[in-house]
Amino acid sequence: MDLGFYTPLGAEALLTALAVLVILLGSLMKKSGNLMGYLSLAGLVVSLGLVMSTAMSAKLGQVFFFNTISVDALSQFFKAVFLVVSMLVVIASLSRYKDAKGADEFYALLLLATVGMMVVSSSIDLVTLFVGFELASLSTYALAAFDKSKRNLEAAMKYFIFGSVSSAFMLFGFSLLYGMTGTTKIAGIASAALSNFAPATLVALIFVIAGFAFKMALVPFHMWAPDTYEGAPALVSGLLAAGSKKMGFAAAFRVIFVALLALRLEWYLAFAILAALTMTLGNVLAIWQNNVRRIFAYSSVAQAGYMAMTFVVVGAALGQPNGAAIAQNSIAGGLLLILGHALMKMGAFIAAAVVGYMVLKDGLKEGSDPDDISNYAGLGRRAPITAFCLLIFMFALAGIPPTAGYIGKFVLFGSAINAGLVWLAVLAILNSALSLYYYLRIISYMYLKEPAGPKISEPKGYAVALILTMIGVIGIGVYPQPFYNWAMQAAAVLLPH
Amino acid sequence: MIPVELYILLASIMFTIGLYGLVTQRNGIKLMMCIELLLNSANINLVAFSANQPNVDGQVFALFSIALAAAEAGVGFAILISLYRLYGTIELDNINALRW
Amino acid sequence: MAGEPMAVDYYIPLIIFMIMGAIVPIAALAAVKIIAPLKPSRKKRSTYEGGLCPVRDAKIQYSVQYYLFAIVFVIFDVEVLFLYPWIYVYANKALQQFMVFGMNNAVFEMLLFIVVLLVGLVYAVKKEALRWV
Repeated sequence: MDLGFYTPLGAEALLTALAVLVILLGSLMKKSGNLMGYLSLAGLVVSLGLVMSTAMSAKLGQVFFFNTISVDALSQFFKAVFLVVSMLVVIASLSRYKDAKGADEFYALLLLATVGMMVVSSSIDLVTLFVGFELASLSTYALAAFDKSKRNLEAAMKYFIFGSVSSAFMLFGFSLLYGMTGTTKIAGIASAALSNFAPATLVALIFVIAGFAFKMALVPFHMWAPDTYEGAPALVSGLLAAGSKKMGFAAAFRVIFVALLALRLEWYLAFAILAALTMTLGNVLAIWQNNVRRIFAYSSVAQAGYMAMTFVVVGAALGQPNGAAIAQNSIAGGLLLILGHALMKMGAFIAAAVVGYMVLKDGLKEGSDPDDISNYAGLGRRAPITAFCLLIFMFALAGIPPTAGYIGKFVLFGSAINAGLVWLAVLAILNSALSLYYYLRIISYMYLKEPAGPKISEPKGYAVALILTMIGVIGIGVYPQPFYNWAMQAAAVLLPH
Repeated sequence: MIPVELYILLASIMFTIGLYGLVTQRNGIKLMMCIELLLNSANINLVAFSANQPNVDGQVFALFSIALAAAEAGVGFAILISLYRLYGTIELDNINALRW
Repeated sequence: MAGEPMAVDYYIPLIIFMIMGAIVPIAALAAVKIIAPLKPSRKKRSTYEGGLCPVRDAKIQYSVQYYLFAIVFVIFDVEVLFLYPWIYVYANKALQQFMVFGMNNAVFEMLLFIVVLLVGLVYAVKKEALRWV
């Protein structure tokens, strides 16, 4: 057997080996937190290089391990997103968990979560999809409880219960799909469902979609998100919002298109209602919050609603003549929004982590909320770098050009109008305007209110991560062409030829 | 040969019991047991379907899901233990530092 | 009874076994109640007939350490599950031709798996999850 055949999977192999190594070294050495952090960072950078080199090369479209893992443009796109998010978390953690007890475990869990997400984005088989999903979920359950404060553990418990119920739903749906079609390959399921549609397949698809919707935090299944994002360590919340949630989309992109085909495309209206409810409810609930991390959580729910529009547009477009181009455009828009949102939300949560650090330095009053919006008063003078970066992220989240958030929304909403879903596009644009209210509220606290304490010096890791994220967000906004082309290439993978 | 419908019926009943428990119970351990019920009902489905198929994919899937369920229980119990050390209870109604 | 056996027919031995299993202990206990002479005294009714006096409450709190053992045990116990399908692959002649680093593919994969489990064990020992207190 030729091991060279497996080079496109080098990134996953490297990260898995590195995670095992970090666990081993971390348990043998004392005070190894920072060393492990730099080791993980190096591993993630090399993996990103490997993923990008595969994405550029002509080797795309290969399948491995008996048709269960596919390396194509779509999987490489998602893998790059996950790796960038994990890199940012590691850079910021270098100052958060310096030589804290168990820092090595933090990095090992983070690496394993990344591997899980990468496996999900590559899976074209239900078994590998489920295993990757669970690997990422189990690691993030442990990460959410990492600081072991009361709030952490409560957040982790809620996340654990909702998360494991969602994977149970998914597994039940998978079992029914297997029973109806006799295969666990996604392509095989699609063709079997198309030729011989049984009502049980519909039930199975509803179970599977419910399972994914928990991870994506679409509206009837979003209850866990605000509590978990508020209570978990800020950097882990960032990982959940920017990485784990996108994993749900990566899985949904592969599986829900099967559903759209099997359901003869008539069900896109159900998705339309789901998306419309999600974005509206997320934005309306965000207005009433005073806890900044809860605001981010609800805004992340709203953004999931925009991303879910992709499914609607594809469903609507494929029913039309020459709809394939519109469908491809909408998937590309969804992917750009996913890339942009991953960066913006990660940056926003890193900024929240800086504020948490600042509040802790001021001396937290017993029973008060460290993420309350009043702690952001005068941030522009207390921590100028953080405040400026957060300003950019807020504008980007609202979709103001030239930022990454604008590009994704522009392409996606444009394709929605082309597909004849004008009402949905108008609703989404109105929602974006509504979201400006609470983003501007945070900005006004940062720049217009009197500071509540002295200027602080931001820890280096946080500052570096924030500036890198900001460069990414603006870079994609100013120079979107290569990213757009890449997203179009990734979108072509999903469409029938 | 027992018809496959009976297995699906059994799995559906187990799944419903688990779901009912999740909605009505507020004790951490009981919730974990209900989650195990949900996962195991899917396993019954997989193995039953696999017996009627030419391939054994379903049994392989069930093996993986058993191992993953064990790992999940491990993580869940670890979180519950830490929760018990801090709060002194695992009745989830009493754990409400965050708004629900 | 002619014709195709019903699903229930396969379970008749099991049902007989269950009924017998229920009858035997009840019959034994009933026989003891009826036949044995009953002369209770205070000494006889104490917990240990050997004469030791029981001390403290019967409900004691177990050390939380047991939990760690249980969790670690459950994980390792279930991972052993993967050895069963592995045996099947190992015995399969058609799959034995694949070689990695000069050894059988199945052996190589199982070695990888065991090494990862071993790292987990080293971790558990070094983090003192297995130390008895």
